[in-house]
Amino acid sequence: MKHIEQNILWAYIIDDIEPKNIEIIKHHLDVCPTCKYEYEVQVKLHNELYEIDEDMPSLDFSTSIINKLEKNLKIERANQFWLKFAKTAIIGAIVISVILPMIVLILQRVDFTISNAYLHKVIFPLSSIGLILWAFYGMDVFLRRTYVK
Amino acid sequence: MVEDVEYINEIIENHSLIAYKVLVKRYETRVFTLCFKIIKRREEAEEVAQDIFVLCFKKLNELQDKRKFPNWLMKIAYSKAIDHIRKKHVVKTDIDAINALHFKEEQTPLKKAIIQNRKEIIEKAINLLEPIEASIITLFYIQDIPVKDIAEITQLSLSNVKVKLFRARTSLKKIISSLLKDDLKDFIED
Repeated sequence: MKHIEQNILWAYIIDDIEPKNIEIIKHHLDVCPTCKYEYEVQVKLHNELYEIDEDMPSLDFSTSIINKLEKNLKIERANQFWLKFAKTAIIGAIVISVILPMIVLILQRVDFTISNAYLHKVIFPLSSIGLILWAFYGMDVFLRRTYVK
Repeated sequence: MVEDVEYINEIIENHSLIAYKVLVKRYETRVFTLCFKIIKRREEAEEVAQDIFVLCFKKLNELQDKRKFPNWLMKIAYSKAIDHIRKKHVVKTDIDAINALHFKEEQTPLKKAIIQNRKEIIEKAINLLEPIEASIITLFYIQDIPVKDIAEITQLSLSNVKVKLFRARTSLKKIISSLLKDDLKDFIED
């Protein structure tokens, strides 16, 4: 007697089989003890598998996640602050270093004499401040990306 | 019970961690179970599961159909857990292998005691399965997810999921037989 293939038996158990084959399998199981035994094993395993419980995580699982998220949000907010601050500082430095010479030039035309040395003392420091702030911001972003996960 | 969608909207609009905690509580067992069955080490599975929830919080605004949140979450959980074992080359736990040998060596009196606890045997057998087989068994039986949704979560075709499910059950049967050192006769007898 030809036995029922295992995959067909599984399909029969989980009701994933063509209706015309159901009666054939039922009849075969009635007359074939080998297939009947195999069927019983598989049904038992099938039913037992449904009884397996889920695994429980630790009690502070959700709290740990929220703590991680809070930490991440803080870093994001700090980054946003530094981004805004750096943008404002850079724009401010550029604007001042452009406007100041213009003012100075205008003042020079109306015969106000300002030494070049004084000009350099004002413009270069302001531009340098802008660059230094930008460098600090860049370094801050780089360090955060490298070391804070 | 408040629907997931309402919490998701609250999270996207206000970055509400309180709302997200509710969702985490709702799905933590499901996600952790899947990770644990794939990774097979509790501490690592818990860490990966936490990272999954952190990632989902960040990506929540990318979720198009909010009603599909559970499947979306499980899809991320499945791929992250599989990625983790691929990166770390996690092999089957030695403890399980030792237990398997231990079971084989034991004689009838203990075997009877073992049979009384079929759940324990099946859980051990699931732990000895390959990660993908273990995950499909977990999704189908333990979490009662339909084959169609499993295909979506694992990104396998429907027929492939069915084939893997069949193979997983066959492997389980073999493992249980070897654990019981018998042809499952004791297993089916009450």
